[in-house]
Amino acid sequence: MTDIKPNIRLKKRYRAEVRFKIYCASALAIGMIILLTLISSITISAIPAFTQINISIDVQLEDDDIQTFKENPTDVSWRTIQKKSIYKMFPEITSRSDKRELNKIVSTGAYLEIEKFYNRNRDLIKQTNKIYVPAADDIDLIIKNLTDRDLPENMRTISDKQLSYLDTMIEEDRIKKSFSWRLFSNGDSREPELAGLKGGIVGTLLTMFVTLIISFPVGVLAAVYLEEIAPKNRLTDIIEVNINNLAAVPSIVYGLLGLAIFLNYMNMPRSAPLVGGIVLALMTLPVIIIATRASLASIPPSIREAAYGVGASQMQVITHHVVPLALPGILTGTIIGIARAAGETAPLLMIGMMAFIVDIPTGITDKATVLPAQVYMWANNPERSFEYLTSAAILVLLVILIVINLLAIILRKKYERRW
Amino acid sequence: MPDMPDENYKIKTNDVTVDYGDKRALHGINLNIQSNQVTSLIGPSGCGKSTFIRCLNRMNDLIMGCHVNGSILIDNTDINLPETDIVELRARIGMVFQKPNPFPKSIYDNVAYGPRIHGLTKNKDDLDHVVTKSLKRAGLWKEVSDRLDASGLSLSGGQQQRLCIARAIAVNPDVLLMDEPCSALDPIATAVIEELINELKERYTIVIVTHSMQQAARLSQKTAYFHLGEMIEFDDTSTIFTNPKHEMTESYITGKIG
Amino acid sequence: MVTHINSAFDDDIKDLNNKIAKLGALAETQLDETLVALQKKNIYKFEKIIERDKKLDKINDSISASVFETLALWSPIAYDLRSILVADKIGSMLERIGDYSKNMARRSQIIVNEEHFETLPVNIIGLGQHVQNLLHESLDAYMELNIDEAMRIWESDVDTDRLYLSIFKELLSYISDTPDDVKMLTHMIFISKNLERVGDYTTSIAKQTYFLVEGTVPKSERPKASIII
Repeated sequence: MTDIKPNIRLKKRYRAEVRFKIYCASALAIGMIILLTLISSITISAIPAFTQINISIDVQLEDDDIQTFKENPTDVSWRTIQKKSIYKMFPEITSRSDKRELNKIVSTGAYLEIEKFYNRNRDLIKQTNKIYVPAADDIDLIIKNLTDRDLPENMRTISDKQLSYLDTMIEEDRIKKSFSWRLFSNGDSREPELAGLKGGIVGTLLTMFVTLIISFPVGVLAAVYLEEIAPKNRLTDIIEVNINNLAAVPSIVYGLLGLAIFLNYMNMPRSAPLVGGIVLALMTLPVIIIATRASLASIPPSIREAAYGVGASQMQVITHHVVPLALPGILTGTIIGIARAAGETAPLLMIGMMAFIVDIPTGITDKATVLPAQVYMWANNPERSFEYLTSAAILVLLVILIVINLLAIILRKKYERRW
Repeated sequence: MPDMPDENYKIKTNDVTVDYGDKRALHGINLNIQSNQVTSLIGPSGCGKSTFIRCLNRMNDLIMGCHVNGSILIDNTDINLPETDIVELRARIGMVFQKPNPFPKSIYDNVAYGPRIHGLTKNKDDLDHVVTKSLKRAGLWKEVSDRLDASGLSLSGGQQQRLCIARAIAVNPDVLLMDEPCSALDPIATAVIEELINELKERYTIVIVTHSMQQAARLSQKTAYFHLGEMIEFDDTSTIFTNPKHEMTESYITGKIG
Repeated sequence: MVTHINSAFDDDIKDLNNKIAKLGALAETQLDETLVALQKKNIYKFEKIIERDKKLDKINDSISASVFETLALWSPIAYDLRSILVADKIGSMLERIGDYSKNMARRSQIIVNEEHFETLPVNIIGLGQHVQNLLHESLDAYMELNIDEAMRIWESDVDTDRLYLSIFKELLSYISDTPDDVKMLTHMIFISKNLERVGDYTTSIAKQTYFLVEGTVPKSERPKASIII
């Protein structure tokens, strides 16, 4: 061999190494770009949903209303009060159709704010109060510059007249932009300006609670039995293969199972977090079992031998040594499983949790929906404002998932030990 | 070997065979081990010496498909019976393993674990006393007395192995089984452990598996040579290492082909 | 022969054995030539023998060094250990046998030209040849690990003692008869004593051979002729 040959080969090898590094880095870059694009586009389109346009109206209750309010607050016709107050702001408008258009500037649920105000401030009942009510979703978009007001009238959802009323209100400084707390304090609604995520968030938390308390103990104990106690024979092999297969079963199948068994056969409540949680727990079980078994198997046998060697019983070996050491892995697996379940919609579709539910659930047997279902339903709504709300809901869902994963990392770091 | 009255033997095995599934790992071992002596088991890898030592505290029970037949008398009681309380047995027969394997807990908890699960101590002072005594006997007390809360894994390899010895003697055994206890240690740590074993034999009956001929020669009073699941020769260590009777023993200890 | 897995150890042992064989051959030559020169009164030969002794010393030093090194590096046990220890001992004995040959050569230089040397009817050469045979046989037994032969040699030491004793008695009687020759006769006593010592070493070599093979020393007491008159 000549002297030059190895040199050429060396250079070739170095170049190949550099190319390989570039391939790997590019793959990572592609992934990062896709992820960043996704998150930033969602974030950008979600931003408008986090603010809300409010219009202040001057409200003066008439004597009859005051009387009714004092005697029986629920009988007060807040809708009429709202209308009257708005009409009073524009005394020059007299025709019925104009009045109707004027009233449409504020949200159909504006009267709820008035009601809320008087229920809170009973001492202000006799004076004129300046109350901020949500603007209608179309007005909201105009003020946020999301709808072009220079379009011809027939291409807008807002008439020229409404625009002129709005301009007057702006001149009178009646328009205020504020953070949309409603997004987190309201349940679902047909009106975008009134729709909130609280129902979905609470529903998700309740469902995850049920999922966790069922799947974690069952999954961990099953894994401990399979890995530590059961004899290794054909039967356990078959069980193992089937558990692995279960992890790959399409999630809608679990929904069908839930529908057939829990709803139709066991007559459990429809659309309830209880059933949703059980169904998702079934779906999460194989994930937890597999993760726990992998984690248990990674505990070095020397630890087991050490414990047996000083005379620990099998239960003591498992509960004092093996499981505590495997805990970081078990928790990681569980949280990943739970996070996956939290983003699931298909199985919940079958048991009626993909439904328009306005009330915030207060227990696991109440009707409820979950965040991913909320996202799906909002995305199907025709109003343009729902487009932004959908993005906001996705963002909230993402934040919840990130928090869950962060929790997994923190737990892992805290309990991780070398041996 | 001169005949001795039965009571001088701590451990007597009679025709002990071990099968892994349908593979026979030990063929009828008859070995009598005397009290307060170090008995070393030597032989090539896979010769069954580790399998044999693990019969003595029923560690083979943990292995699926492993069957131990024959009688193993410890203090004239057969421990190879289904009615033997294995937990109690393993407290009486301590074991130290090849790789130092302290629990990922504090030094104190490592030693205290055995007495705790067996309920050997009445109160905290009692437990402190047992831990101190065990660490002293294991020759580790001076090095760790000021950091009992530190993790057992923060110690060096040799210290970890002595911690494992302290953990084993904390439950007050009378037999110590050691499965290649120095194979992962450097010569100095090995010498420290060997010196310790030499001291411990005053109190305990020690059976040690080793791959180091020198170690068997230095440490033990009796040596057994195993080959392919059979015990080829058992005699005084001095005899085995100067003038073995069996050709296979000689070939093994002098490193010959054959 | 069963060889070690570590062939370098075999090489070391082979090397050591070669040195012993060489030293043994030299020791035999020294003894043989001393006896021949004594017989033929070859003054010049003696110088050569005395000079050659340094060679034996050198080989023995090299054996000691090899033994030391092998023990340190290989930590041999059982047969290996015995073979090295025995090699060391036999090396020293052969070196001592060489020394005796040198000593006899020195004494011979002085006595061969004495007036009555040839007229003495003393069978020193006979004792010498007997011892020479023993040396040869013991080295053969050692090389061939022949313990039967070794035991025979070990037991035959009594013959050497008897031969030596008869020569010793004879020389003593000459001293009292012819006091003028006392210097020569004393040298002759020493020469025969040296030959008897060489005989002792040959039995030692035989004994070491037995120990090498059997791992124990011979049990029976060795038959001995009393040297007390």
